[in-house]
Amino acid sequence: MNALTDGIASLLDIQVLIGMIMGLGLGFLVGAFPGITATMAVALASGFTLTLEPVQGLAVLLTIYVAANFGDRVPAILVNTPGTPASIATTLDGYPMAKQGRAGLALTISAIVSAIGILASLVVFAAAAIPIATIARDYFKSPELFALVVFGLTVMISISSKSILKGVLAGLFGLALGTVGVFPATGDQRLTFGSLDLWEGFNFIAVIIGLFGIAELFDQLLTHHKSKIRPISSLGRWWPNKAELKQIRRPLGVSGLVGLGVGLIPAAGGDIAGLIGWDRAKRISKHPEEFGKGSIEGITASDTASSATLGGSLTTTMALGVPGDSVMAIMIGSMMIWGIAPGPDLFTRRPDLVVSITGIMLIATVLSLGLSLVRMKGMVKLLDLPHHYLWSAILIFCIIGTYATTNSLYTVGTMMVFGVIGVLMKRTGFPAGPVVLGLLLGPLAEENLARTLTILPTKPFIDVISPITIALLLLSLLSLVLPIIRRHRQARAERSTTLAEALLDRDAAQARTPDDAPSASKK
Amino acid sequence: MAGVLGAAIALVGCSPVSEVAEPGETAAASTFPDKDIRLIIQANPGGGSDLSSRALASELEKILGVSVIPENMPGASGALAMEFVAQQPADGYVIGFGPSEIAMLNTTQNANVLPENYDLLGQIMLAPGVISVGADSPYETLQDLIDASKDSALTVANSGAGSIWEAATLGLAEETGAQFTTVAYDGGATAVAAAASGEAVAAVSGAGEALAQKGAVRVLAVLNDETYFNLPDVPTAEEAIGTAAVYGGWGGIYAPAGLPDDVHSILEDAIAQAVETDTYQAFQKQSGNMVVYRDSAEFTDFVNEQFTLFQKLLG
Amino acid sequence: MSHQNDVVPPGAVPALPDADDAPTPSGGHDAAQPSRKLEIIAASVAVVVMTTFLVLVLQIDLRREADAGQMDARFWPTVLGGLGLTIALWRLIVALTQTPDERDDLERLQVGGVTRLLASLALVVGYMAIWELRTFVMFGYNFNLFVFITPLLLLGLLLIYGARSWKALVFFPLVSTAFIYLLFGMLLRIPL
Repeated sequence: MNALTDGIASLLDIQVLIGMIMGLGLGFLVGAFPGITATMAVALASGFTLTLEPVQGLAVLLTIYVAANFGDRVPAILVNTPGTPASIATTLDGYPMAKQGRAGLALTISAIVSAIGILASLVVFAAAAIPIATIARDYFKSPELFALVVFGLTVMISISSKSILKGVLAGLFGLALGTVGVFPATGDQRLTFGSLDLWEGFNFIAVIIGLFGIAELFDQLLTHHKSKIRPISSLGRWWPNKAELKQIRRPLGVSGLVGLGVGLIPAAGGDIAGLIGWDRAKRISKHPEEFGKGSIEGITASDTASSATLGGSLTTTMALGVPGDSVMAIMIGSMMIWGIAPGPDLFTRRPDLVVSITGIMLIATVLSLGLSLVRMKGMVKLLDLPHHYLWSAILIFCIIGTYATTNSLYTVGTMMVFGVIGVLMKRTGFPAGPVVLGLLLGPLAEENLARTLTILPTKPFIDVISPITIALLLLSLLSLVLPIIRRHRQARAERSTTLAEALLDRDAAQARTPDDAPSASKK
Repeated sequence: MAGVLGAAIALVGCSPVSEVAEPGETAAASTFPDKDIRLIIQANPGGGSDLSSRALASELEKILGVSVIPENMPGASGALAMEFVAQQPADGYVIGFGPSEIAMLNTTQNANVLPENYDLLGQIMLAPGVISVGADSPYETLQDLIDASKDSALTVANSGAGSIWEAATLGLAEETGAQFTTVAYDGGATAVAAAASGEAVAAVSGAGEALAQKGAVRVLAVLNDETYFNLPDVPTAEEAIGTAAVYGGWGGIYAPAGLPDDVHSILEDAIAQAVETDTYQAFQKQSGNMVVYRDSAEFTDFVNEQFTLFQKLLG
Repeated sequence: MSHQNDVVPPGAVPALPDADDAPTPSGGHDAAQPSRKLEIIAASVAVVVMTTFLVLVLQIDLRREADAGQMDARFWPTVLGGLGLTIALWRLIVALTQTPDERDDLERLQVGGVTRLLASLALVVGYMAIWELRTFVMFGYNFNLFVFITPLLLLGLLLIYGARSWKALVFFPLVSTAFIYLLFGMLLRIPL
């Protein structure tokens, strides 16, 4: 009880409030700016917060962490450019919604479910951080992680909107890109061609901004014509109605659990969680066909999952002393300098600080939600800007944001190359999602497999390859095979009925498939 | 008035061109430094290298009377920054933070990073290595661990192939005749977590990373020649097994080779003073690092020794 | 368009689209048309990419051979390359034998679209080339190139994208550059 009151009391400080307001503004801004991540903002801010009291400093850093998780959704929804990697999956349904003139609704739902995701994951942190983090560490070792990553890779099947083959090819392209650089298990250089810039592989942020944001911009350059009517952003509702609120319940629950689980694993963060959460929600949804075309369930799933990783990462970091993600790695550095090293004894020695951390995260979430809801109208207005402003601004901001990640123009070049690859892929029907998934998960899969094989000869087989590993691998196999069989059957049934007509009259066939937004026309 | 003008000039992004010294003219050099110094950091903001460099930079500013601007140039395990610095004019206005990789990257990755490419100005910190096992491990001492490894090889986690901690593991094995199978993780913290969870038998890491997971792991020995202040009860390797094993993540300041002598000594002295300041000392202590200073000559010898050692261990 | 990957010089791009994506006279529908030719070219590019990858992977130098049962640096990429090549060939067969995929989720290419894209690319490449020089010296001062070329880039882009109003062409480039310079150059201290 004492810790509780102490922890809360230490938040009642004007400096803490000022810190949080600064963190809120900064976090929102860097989140919304493509390229600059929460990690970078926290790293830069930590230089200034070292001189503050721990609670004040934590208020700034944690608020940036939280606020960036709201800000990054804005460009993902409005212009298909993830503000930070955590909002990659947001683009899957958020951007189609915006194209249908439902940007306001997408932003509202995204902000609400992000807040719910963070708050739910905080409950776990506050209630049972140490046991849960310990279980995650002791039961999810390299073999289990390898199996989990393989399971994550099966997501590429469901984000391949049309042709599974194209989706898998895109995924393999991403996996192949992921092998470039120094292989950490042996130190061998692969496909670097003597270039120092390729040692650490392709810059992930440059790749995603290229494949999503720049490719979409290029596609607009290719297809824009003057007479085109743009959806008017001010039309459309802002607030979800009752039916929609009911619709989001299921994806909220499923993807929230996914996010929490992924967050507990040190090597995986919001980017992976968003994609896996989206996939899981699609598989249990009654309307999986709407996913990727502006589904409310889809945006709920991606944003709940990626936001719920925050509590998971915080749990791993504070309870074990192992950084849960890259922001937390920097946070540990700062905390050590304040003399409050995270780890199991933080909870016994400084329970008040745990209360303060929970409090800061909670308040930051509520403030971010408030700011999101208030700022939204202005944000959406950006879409009404004449297209020449919008395009020029997207291009220059993506260039600067990407440059800032490494202070090197090479990274900007990477982004532009992937922009070109992205638009070519888009025009030929290859989805970008699986590329990103492969690039993210490939190195994790390979490294965990290498470790598993190193450890295997030193221990009895069953101690290494646990039932969890086997179960996960079986689950992956099912996830891979079932949709293919289902689609194959569907395709065969469809072909036998429509092939003849389709070949005779292509236009007629096209008219039968509604080309845009089934969910929008329904209402 | 000058201030306003200066601010206005800074706003449009320009600065006066400094007078370039004629070759052989020493008068200009004696005014060193008369403009901002760039301190190139080979890693991302927020990490250990970055924080150490920034802490030193703010002390150097006070001593030298000019701005020392830290600049992050991450990439290629630091080789990008190190090769960049080597190519800069040797005038003292571009210096860099050099971690142990400066003595390794040529061996492990064939990079053009050789001690003779640099004027090594002084060592400023040391993160000593430690070897730890899980809290419920049967091995109570380093000797137990080494004895057990003689029957069958034991797995030892580290932060990656070609890292300083892999070198430390191999070095320890070589000096003691132990059989260690190195397992690469994606960082020191996850390597220690692997020892904590029992996935690997032991982990070799920086002291700070093991300390962060205190309670989950038992530190068997410090791989240094003196006790580590945060773990006063843990013996050094020599105390534990009678064989000295000294491995650590050290860091120092370097410049392109061929600095004029007076610039060299101005920078060397400034670094020596900066390391002695209370703020710097307190900062490193809080970060869990030791302040180990070596002057330019000692540091150069040391880096050359390490270079040979890593060639032997990792080559 | 778009059957090429990045190794093909961008100049080759505009030749192709006319055949596949040419505006349809029927009108009303603004969606791109399915095209067998496009599918075949795309699948062929995939085969070439995966073959190249596989060949390059097999030539990776290893510092040490891996022990039996352990992974070397070639194992995983070889698996990926083999799998990728198989699927790319499969896709090529599908492209050759089956009806091409619907493309109703894509909009049709417009006249001038390719030019607009190539002009933007050329402008950005030129901008990066000049930016790489970082500074120039005039009147005894070092000038930061970034603040001079960024408004020019934006001006060029606005012109390509059809802005003609005098105010737009002057104010937008200057205000954006000032914002970026203040936020990144001054506040975040990023060396622009």
